[in-house]
Amino acid sequence: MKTKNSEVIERLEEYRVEPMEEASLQQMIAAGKQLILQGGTQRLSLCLRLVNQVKYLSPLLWAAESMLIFLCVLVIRHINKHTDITLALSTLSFLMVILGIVGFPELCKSFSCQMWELEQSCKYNLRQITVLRLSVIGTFHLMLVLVIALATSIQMGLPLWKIALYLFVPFNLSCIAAFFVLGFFRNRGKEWLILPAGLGVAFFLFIGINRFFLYDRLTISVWTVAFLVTTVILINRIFHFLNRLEQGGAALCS
Amino acid sequence: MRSIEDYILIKRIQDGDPAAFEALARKYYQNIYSFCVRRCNGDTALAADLTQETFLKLVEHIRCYRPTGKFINFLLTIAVNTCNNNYKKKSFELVEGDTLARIPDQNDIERMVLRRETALTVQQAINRLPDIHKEVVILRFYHHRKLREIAAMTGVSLPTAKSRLKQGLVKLKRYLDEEDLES
Repeated sequence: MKTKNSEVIERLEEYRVEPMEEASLQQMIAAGKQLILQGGTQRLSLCLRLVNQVKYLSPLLWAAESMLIFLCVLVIRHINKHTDITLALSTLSFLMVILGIVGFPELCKSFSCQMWELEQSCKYNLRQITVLRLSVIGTFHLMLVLVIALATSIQMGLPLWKIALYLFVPFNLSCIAAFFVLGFFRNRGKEWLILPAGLGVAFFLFIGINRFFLYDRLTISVWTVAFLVTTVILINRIFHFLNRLEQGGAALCS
Repeated sequence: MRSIEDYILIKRIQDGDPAAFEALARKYYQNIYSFCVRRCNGDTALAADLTQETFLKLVEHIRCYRPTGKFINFLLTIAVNTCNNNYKKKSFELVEGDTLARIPDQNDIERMVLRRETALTVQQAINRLPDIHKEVVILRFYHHRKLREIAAMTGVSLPTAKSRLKQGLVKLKRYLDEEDLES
């Protein structure tokens, strides 16, 4: 059997295929090269692009975040049984509002014409870059709010979910206000209006909470509904914002 | 060393370097083209198309490639699937002798004729094999793949691959003997 197989194998090996025609080979290589060049925007893996975006975030942003964390820690540390809980929570809410707007200058960085052209020349997609930055900053802020809520709930002896509601609602409101301002003024070079808009929200909230005792007068159900509504609106604003980026830099710079 | 060269070329293609693709294509195109010719019953035109399709699929899926095995196995797996997908759309037609792989002009006409006849005989014997045996035989004896690798490429177990190879060889022997008798 082995000998018979050897005979068959020998005969098989006598059959050689001649090389492909050079013209066909050139055509194949050209098609492959074109495909590679077309896929230039996906040149880097997602992880690498994420790492790149983290590196490109301004140190000023991290400095501002650090300052906010320091202030929150300061407030939380001074909470004791004699502390006015409303004042403490409203102060933290004020800081959460600032947290909500502090990342927006980084998002706006790409919206000047020069930056868009630079990024397009590197074959990067503006929408992808913005999504990545939003993911990095947004995830960091979400975790920060949760950690602050946890620390506060431990210090105050109140349930975590309650504190989280009190902190997330102002945070969401400031983000919604910032997205609204960004969407309205983006093409007019007035993105700097986000800061006063955010500060305005912060002050109104601070005064409103302390003047009208919102933590006491509004039931937890109202806060829950406020949280859900603001979250839905915020998600809507984010998608609306990203969809407008599809138009590319020409729309941004017009 | 060869696998390191391939790894470097693949990384360059993943980073978007077209020149790396050309180098890789020139290195492996004959391998894939020969497989496609034998798999496609000797139809060189179709084999050229399927070879191109294989390499284009390689570019599309280059990010899925993990250097856990030999690159040629990855490429041959794409070629196997490409040919099978083409077969599902339309079965390969049996090719007349004069469309089989061209033999370049040579001074020794007798040797040329003999080689052409051998090629025709063997190709026609291979053509008669069922596809599942054809693939295993081609990958084993023309591309020198191990049975374990062939099993992975064709998506079957090792015993199944062994069985297909054995049955393929038995049938080939019979077909080659029949071809010899006819000629």
